[in-house]
This record gives sequence, C-alpha cells and structure tokens, in this order.
Amino acid sequence: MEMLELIFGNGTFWAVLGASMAAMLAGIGSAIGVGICGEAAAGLISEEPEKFGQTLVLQALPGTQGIYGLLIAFIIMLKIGVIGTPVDITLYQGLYLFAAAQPIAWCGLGSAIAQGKASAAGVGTIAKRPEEFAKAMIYPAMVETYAILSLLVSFLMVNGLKL
Amino acid sequence: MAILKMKRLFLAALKKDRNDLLNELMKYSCVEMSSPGEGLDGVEMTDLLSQGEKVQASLENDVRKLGQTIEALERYDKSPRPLFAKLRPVSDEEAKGKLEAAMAASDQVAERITRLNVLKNEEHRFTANIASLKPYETLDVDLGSTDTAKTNLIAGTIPAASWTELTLDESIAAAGAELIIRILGSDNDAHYIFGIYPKDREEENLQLLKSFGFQKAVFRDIESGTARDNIDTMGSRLAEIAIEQKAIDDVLAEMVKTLPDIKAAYDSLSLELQKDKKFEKLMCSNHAFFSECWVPEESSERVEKLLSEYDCSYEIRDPLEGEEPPVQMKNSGLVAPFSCVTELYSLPAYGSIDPNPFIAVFYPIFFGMMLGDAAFGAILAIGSFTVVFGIKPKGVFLKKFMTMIGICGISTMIWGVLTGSYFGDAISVVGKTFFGVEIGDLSIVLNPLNESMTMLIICLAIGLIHIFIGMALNAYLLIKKGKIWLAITDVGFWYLVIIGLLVWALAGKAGMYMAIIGTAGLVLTQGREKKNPVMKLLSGIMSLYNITGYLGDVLSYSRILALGLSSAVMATVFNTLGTLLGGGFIGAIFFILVFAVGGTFNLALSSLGSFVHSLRLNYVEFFGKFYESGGRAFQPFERKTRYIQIIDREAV
Repeated sequence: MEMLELIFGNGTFWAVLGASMAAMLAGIGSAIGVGICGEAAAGLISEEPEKFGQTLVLQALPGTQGIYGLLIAFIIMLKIGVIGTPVDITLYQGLYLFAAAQPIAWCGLGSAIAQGKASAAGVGTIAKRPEEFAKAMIYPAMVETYAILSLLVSFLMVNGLKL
Repeated sequence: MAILKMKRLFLAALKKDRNDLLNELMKYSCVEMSSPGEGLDGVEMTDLLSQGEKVQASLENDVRKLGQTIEALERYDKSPRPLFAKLRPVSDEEAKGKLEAAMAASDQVAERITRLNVLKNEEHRFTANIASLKPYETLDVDLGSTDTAKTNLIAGTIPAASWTELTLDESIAAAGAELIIRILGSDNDAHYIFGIYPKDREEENLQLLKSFGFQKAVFRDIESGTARDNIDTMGSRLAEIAIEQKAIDDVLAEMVKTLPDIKAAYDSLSLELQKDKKFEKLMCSNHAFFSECWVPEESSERVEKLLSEYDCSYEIRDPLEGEEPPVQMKNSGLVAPFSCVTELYSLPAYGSIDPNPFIAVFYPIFFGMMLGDAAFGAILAIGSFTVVFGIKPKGVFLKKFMTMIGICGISTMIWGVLTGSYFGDAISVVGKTFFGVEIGDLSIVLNPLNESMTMLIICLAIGLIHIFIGMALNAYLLIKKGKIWLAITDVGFWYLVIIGLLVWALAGKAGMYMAIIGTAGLVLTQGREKKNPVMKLLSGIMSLYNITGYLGDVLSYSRILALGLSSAVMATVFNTLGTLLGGGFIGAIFFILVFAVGGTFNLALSSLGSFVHSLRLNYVEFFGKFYESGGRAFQPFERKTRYIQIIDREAV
C-alpha cells in the first residue's frame, strides 16, 4: 500500500509516464505505418528499382507521428528536469502533464497506421502512373492532419503549464 | 500571368514544302498540329483524302539501333554520372554530319555485343560443366567409353543421408548382386560414386541402384578423356574466353569516346522520325497536306508570317463553342516557377483562372513559416540555386521546381531571422556550453515556442485571408460567366456571415447585424433548387451547416504552427542531446557529430513535411473554393531531344 502511494502519489512518475506514452505509442504507430508502406514499396522496387526515391518519400510520411511523440516527450522531460536541473512537481502537475500527453500518444498511434495504409496505396499509384506522385503524397498528408492537430493540442497544454 | 488565349489554325500546304515547313514549325514550337476532323466547309475531309505517308521502317530501325548502341556504350562509360543531366548544344549541320560515322560505329558495337553474348553463353556452359565434373576428378576412367568388353562403368550420385560405403556394401551383398560401388567424394546432399558391374546382369543392377536413390551423372560437351583432362581443357578454353572478352571490352570502352557524336546523331535522326510520324497523321491529297492546329494568340502573327512565305492556304480564327482549346499557362519572373504546383495538381480548364500568382505569394509564406529556420532556409536556397544556375539541368519542370524550392528557402530564411531560429537554438546552446556566454532570445518579432498562442492566431489569420481570396476568385469566375446573382448569394452572403461573426467577436454589435443579414440571405437563397417552399426553407437552413466547413478550413492552417514547432523542437532535441558530454574538446566533437547527423535528418524530414503540407493547403483549402481543373495541356509540335540542344544558324 505504501509502495503504491509512493508511486502513484508521485507527480514526477505521472509526468514520466505521460512522456513515455507519447514517445512509445506514437512511435509504435509510426513503426507499423512505415512498415506497411515499406512492404508495398519493396514489392514495387523488385520490378522498377528506379522508383526507389519516390517510394522512400512516401514511406517517410507516416514516420512523422513518432517524431511528434518524441517532441512532446522531450518537452515534458525538459519541463520536469529529466534533462537539465530536476524540478519538484506536485501530484496535480504530474497528472496534468500525463493528461496532456494523451492526444499525441493515441492519435499518433492510430493515425500513423492509417497513414501507412494510405501511403502503401500511393505506392500502387506510382507503380502505374509515376507522374501522379504529388497526388499520391496528398492522400497520406490528409491523414496526417489529425496527428498535427493532436500535436498542437498536446504542445499547447504542456507549454501552458507554468512550473 | 494567365492562361493563354488559343486560336484555331487551318493549314493546307504543298507536299513539296512539307520538309521545310515542318522543320520551321518544329523550331517555332508553338503550334499543336493534328489531323483535320470535321473538315472545311462541311465536306468530310476523310472522304476526299488519305492518311499521310507511312513512316519508313528503315528510319525507325536506325533510330532504334542508335538508341541501343547508346545504351550499350553507356554501360562502359566510367566517367561519373551527373546528378542532373544536361543538354549539349550542337548545331543542326554538325549533328547531321555525325550520322554516317554513328551508324558505322553502331554496326561495330552491335557486332561486338553479339560476340560478347556468345562468349558469355559459352562461359556459363563451361563453368557449369566444370562444376559437374569436379566431384569425379579422381576417377581415372575415360568418360568417352564407359564400358569394357564384359563390364559397364557408371558414375552418379546417391543421397548422402541414407547411405555409407559400409551399408551400401552390405545391401549389395544381401541382394546377392555383382556390383562394386566406391564413393569418390561427398557433400551435404550426395555421395558421388562410381560403380562397375557385369554387362549381362545390367537390368538387375540398375534396379538395385535405383533402390539406392541413384542418379546417373550427365556430362555435357565431352567426347573422351578423364574428368581431370576435360576440366583442364575446359579451364583453358575459359581462359581464352576471358581474354577475348577483355579485348572486346577494351575496344568498347575505347568507343565510349564517340558516345557524344552518336548521341547527337541519335537526336538528329529521331527529329526526322518525329517529323515523319507527325506527317503520317496528317491528311493528304495528291499534292497537298492538311492540318488543324492550335496556336497561342500571341504567337499567331509569327506563324502567319512564316506561312505567308510558303505557297499555302491558311485560316486563323477564334475557337468556336464546343471546341476545347488546349491550356498553356504563361507566367513571368518569380511566378513562373510556382506553376509546377498547379501542374502537379491538374491544369486549369480553358477560360478559368490561372491560380499561379496567388500560389507564388502564399506557397513560400506557408513553406517558410513551417520550416522557419534561417540556417535551413539558407541551405535550401543555396543548394537549389546552385543547381539551377550552376548545373543548369535539362527539363523545364525540374528547373522550375528547384527555383521554387530556392524561393521557399529564402522565405524560410526571412522567417527564421524574424523568429530567431538558427539551427533551432544552436547559437545559444553553443554559447552556453562551450563559451559560458548566456545568449538571450534572438527573435526579432516573436518566438513561436514561447508565444505559441500569438503565432496560432497569425496562422489562422493568414489562412482566413487565403480562403477569402479563394472565395473572391470564385465570385470573379461566376461574374465572368454572367452569374452575378450566384456570386452574391454563394460568396457574398458567406463573406457577410464570416466577417460579421469575426467583427462581433472582436469589436461588437455591428458585426452581429452583418452576420444576421448574411444568415438570412443564405437561408432564403440556398434552397433555390427545391420546388416545395418548405423544402426551400429547410435546405436554406441546412446550408448554414457549411459554416463548419469554413471553420475546419481555417483551423487547418494551424498546421503551420504545429510544423513550425515540430522543426524547432526537433532542432532543440538534437542540440540538447549534443551537449550531454558537456564542454571541452571531447564534448565539442560529440556535439558536432550529433549536430550534423541530427540536423541533416531534421532538414530532410521537415522540408518534406513543409513541402507536402504547403501543397495541401493550396490544393484542398484554396483550390477547393474556386478551381476548375481538367484542362488539356498544350502540346506543341516541337523538337524533343534527349541528349543535345539544337542551335539554329540564326542564333549563332
């Protein structure tokens, strides 16, 4: 019981948990998304290796969520002094940071996978019509909008907390 | 700054002038030629005329042959390939003069390539043969005559997993057969064996061998001699082949020198072919040929002047209703590079608006704000302009694209200076870690990291302006088509509603009345397609729901802030990681490493993001308001060359 209180009553624990989830979940999403697109791209490259550059760009698109997660995790870490001088934070502040990390964590996870699928479909587009590369890039970018909105919300919330 | 006006040109010219006239038109490259369809004066042209002459097969063959020669020789070209290909300027006469030599060289190359292929096949065959002989190397038997008067000799494999010499002997003894088997060698899969048995008991022995899983070895290209002998002869033949290959390779590598001439000849000949192919599609009578063409209005005078020099009849008029003129956009100066944004989307319909001037303003603003770093901007600008002005790549699109990125780089630089971002916070980090100097905020206008709400409002405001311009262009198009009323109801009322709501929120009551007037207008007019008055009203009210669309569109511009933050924070991440080992010499080396790798990564990823999302804001939010796509690109009859640029006598 005391142990539990020591952990869950500790603001820093919650803040670190939030940072972990942001980097981890968004990262998992990006890994899956980039993987999905990579599989499709590898298939195309076996026939037309000269399209490597184009497919690589498409594959990079679902990779951004992982970075957004990393950014939020990093800002939280800076805030509570995991990097730099440690700051004492209250339980309330810890829970606040935990909550603020949730949007990019979960939306990053889901949107990166969806974006990976859209990118993989884009690989199919440039297999037949390489000149339509720009359009193949726009569809995944539509998905990314929601990850960007989550990043923005998470950022504004984390940044809004004055310690 | 516009979509060019097109004129219809009917041309009837004499066949004897065909070569000169087509040459000139090709040089002008401002006439799109096609075969006449409906015909002049209501007479079906196709009834009177036949298709133009067929292209000579020999010409097509020659072009193909030169192409293959170039392809073959390029494999021997060891000089480094430039990242961006360039066209070499060559005069027409010079290119034609190379033709004979190029054809001869082409024959030589083809002959040698054929010989090389023969040699390669032989090499493969002998290498495979040697591999199959190798296990029987120790067998001292003439493979050409594998039997004696009374016995047969056999060689082959049996599965290695199932047998050893001992078990084999036991099985033979158990079967009571007269067979001697010796294992010459083994690998993971098989024992290589030879056996000997009396001729008169062949059937029984073959049966027994079959039960062992025996497979007879097949030796190809062997007449006599032991395995060892044959391996030696084939080996020496392989050596001969290698020498001959080397000799041919050397000759071909030497011929790479002639590659520029062959390329010039190729282009010169392929222009002839293009001309003949164009002519093939035109309609002809006995002595004349006919064509329907499109000419941009601005070039029509030049074309008329040219045509008047020939014995030909022509007519130039405005396009009729129902005719679909091709689209050519013309922009000058700084706007021109941004037409590739439109080209990547889809050309505007003929008679609609050329959006490029607006893209030329907003695209670099968006890009600059998203990337938002002075150093990154400088790198992009210097890199792109070096390519454009230093290397001068062929390909109009590539040139435009690189110029566009260069301009965006400058915009990024300006925005970076305003917000005080140079590789993120690198300057203050370096100052603090290595020199112990505190450098404060470098920003001139604002620092988006600290004043993100202000920045967000700026982004949304720019977005609102962007959307308003899109709506205004829609109104302009509607008015141009004479639908003034639609411009008022579909665009004007929305202006009233949106501006009214804004004024109401920021300034006060006056806005409320504006919004109410606008809303009332929308409710009353948006149901105009329904017949039933109740449905009219309901549709009018439902149309107000579109306000969420406008809201979503404006909020979409918040991505500018988010991507800007993302590139800035990512730079901070790498800069902070770099200082983990502190100051001092080792710390500095570590910092430089992390800084270089991280900075490259950040630049690549953030530029890609800025590029794509700036496109998106233009395509979805802006184009969605007014853009009519679906124009067919103007394809003038022009010189399409791959390697050289033809210079004309007059130009020299």
